[in-house]
Amino acid sequence: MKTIKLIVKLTLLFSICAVFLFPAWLMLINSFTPAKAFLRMPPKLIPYKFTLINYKQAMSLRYLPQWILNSAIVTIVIICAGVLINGAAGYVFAFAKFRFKSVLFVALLLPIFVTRYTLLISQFIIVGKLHLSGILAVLSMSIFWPTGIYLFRNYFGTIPISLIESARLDGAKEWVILSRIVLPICKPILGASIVFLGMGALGDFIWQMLNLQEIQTRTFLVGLMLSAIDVYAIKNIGYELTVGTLLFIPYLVIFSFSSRYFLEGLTGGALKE
Amino acid sequence: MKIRAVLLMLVPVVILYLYSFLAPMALVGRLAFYSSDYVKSEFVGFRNFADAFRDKYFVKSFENSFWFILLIVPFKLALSYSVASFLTGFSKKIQSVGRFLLYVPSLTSGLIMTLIWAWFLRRDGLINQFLILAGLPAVPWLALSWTARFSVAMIIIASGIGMAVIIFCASMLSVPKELHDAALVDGASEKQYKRNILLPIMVPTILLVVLLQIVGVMTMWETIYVLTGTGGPGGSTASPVYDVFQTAFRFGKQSYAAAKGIILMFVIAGILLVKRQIEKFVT
Repeated sequence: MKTIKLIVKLTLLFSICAVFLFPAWLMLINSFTPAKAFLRMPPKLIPYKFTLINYKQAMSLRYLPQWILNSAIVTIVIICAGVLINGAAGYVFAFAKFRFKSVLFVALLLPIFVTRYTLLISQFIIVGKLHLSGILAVLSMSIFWPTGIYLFRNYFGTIPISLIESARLDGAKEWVILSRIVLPICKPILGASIVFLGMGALGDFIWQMLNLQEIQTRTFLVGLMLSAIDVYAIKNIGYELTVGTLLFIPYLVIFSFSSRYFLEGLTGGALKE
Repeated sequence: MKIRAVLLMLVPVVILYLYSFLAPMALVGRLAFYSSDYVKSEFVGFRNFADAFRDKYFVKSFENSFWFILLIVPFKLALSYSVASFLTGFSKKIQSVGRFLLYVPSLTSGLIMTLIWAWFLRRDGLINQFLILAGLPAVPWLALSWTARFSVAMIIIASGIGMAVIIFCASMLSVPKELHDAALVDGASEKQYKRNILLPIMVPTILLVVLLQIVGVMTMWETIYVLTGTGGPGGSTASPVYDVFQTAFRFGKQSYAAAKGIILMFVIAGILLVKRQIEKFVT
């Protein structure tokens, strides 16, 4: 009786998932289908006529390897710098005592309440004035992460201060304590920040599109996207879906290798009473 | 901690803060009071703000947001809450698989999701084919203002309950298990527990999700960019952010866009304040 109930519930759960996954699934299978087959009714849930022609078209893009490299650089730099810089701020606010600490903390968190789009124009003007262009402009505006400072501080606050103090007695520098002791024992928050920063870096179309006008400087996202929604190109839905499928891959990589920690990082502390 | 170490650790973040927040903020504040003319930019006081309030498309974008909120938020909220509540009844392993599967559409970036939906919504697309199969007339989904709005709402609902489910799950799992057991010992049914005990505890989380969705609706950009290009028939799907973006980068009126952006900022800050007041009131 119990097993039957479980099976019924599981079926229900996975049908809910299936409904939401349906568009993504159609995208995947139709990227392997020749253009003519799209209008067949009813829609097939498996490729109607398997072909790699759309993928060949994507692979033939001249700058594709360059775009992948650019995206990898952007994502890795944003994740590493983002974790270290915002983590350092979180560390200071969790463990240091100095005057104006709470004022500074509130000031640093203020950007959370300002929509990014209000600042987009002036950020664009500022990178222009500083003659930062391309990837440098993209990177420099994407590292500061106020929500991260907040999450880091809260999470670090649950670490026993004695751990930090004993490391200090052993003569460790604060940066070393942060990168060798604190961050490694805070895997959940590390996982959550990799997901947030990484997905932000991979999906920030508007800022990257504005700054990466030259074709060889584009990221995977901007390059492929513009090749698919280019108004002058011949419309080929199969190719658009292929681009969609390809763009999904980096997200999958990031999410699958840090999702274990993701939920814990949002709720928990390093230690539970 | 020594003061030198504190400084050393705070310097990078403060520099980035000045560079990517405070300076742009100051610039936006300044821009908003000057004319959009590139050649001779002169101080115009509040004229940009006054123009924004009379701007048909800007006002309409808020009206659109209102309709989008009505179309989207209740559905997404009910859906994600019940799915999360259903999901937390399973073992840990199944929960994480379910969360991942539901999160996949949110992982697929909004642009791509919209590309797929744009393909469904074509005149000869999947949805119309189903309608014809059912003996109904085909609908020009993106050509009429209400159907276009409806299409956008549908896409937002379909592609984004993952994050809300994750937030709800996290919050539900942090409710102490003893509460549940105690309620059952006292003779409450599972249903009563969920309605009379769990739901009141979840109110702050629900408010948070509602807030995130309202802000999300006002700042949606990708869906409209891909789906309706210039903002739908008669600007009927443009969000405030999309209007700001168009003003700045399509029409090149950066000062005017800055003023609009500031108005948008105050509106969102206002919504945040209202949320906090409601939170205080109910808890």
